[in-house]
Amino acid sequence: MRGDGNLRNLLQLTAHYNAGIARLKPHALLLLSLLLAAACGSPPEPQAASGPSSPTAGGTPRPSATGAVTAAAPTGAPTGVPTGAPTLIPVPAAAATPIVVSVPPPPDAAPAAGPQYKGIPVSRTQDGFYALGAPEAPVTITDYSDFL
Amino acid sequence: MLTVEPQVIEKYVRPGQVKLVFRDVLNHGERSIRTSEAAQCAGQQGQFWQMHELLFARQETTERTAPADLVPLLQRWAAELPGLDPASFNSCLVERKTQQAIQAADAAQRRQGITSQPIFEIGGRRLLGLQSLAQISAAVDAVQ
Repeated sequence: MRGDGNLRNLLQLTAHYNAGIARLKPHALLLLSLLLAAACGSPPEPQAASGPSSPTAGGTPRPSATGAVTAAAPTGAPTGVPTGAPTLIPVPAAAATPIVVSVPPPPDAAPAAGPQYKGIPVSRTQDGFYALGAPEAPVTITDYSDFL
Repeated sequence: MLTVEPQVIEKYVRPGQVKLVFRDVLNHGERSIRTSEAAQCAGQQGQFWQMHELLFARQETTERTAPADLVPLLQRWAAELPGLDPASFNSCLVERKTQQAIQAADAAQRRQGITSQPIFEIGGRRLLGLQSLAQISAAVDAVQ
């Protein structure tokens, strides 16, 4: 008879446990779904660490490789899970305005000698300097100069 | 004279009324000497006046170039002159075949009072500094 009592007690405990589990199931399912929603709705963002030791904490944007960073407003979390740090959206390089620099041509791009001397006699003075024009021309212009 | 030189050439030299002589004044150290040597070396191949024109047209570059870099610069410019043999020109310039004559002439001119530039000597009269075509024409007409 004592064994029958134990069995009855065991059956009562099992029934009580099952009833408890049944009461807890909706809460457990709700908690699980909240955790899943939090995990899927806020993907990991390596450029925006939200830990307290991160220099970006507090919403300060960090420059990306392109040098252009847009800081989005913090998203309100309807699920009650705080997202914290702002999302950083790097601007594509193609969107940056190109810088056009105008380089003037070098001064030595002046053309080599033109045809202005063509057909004009060239001679030399007794001490070796060059003369342009007819040797017997009535007037001589001597130009004392240098090329600077 | 560069600015009015083309006009003087067309008005007086080409018709045979004037003979234009260019004499170097070495007032700017190594740059003066090297550019004068370049003109003389080109002259040995019949291209003095072509190099003369090129040097005047590019004098700003010459002024900015360090003396040590002048020779390669002048060699590059000489290579642009049609018909000029670069090897002969380079040899003339590197071996400084005309330097002594240029400096001796400059020294002789200084003894005669040619110490600044430009100076134009026309019929025994000296005009100091840059001159307009009208001023040169007046001096030429006074001689004729």
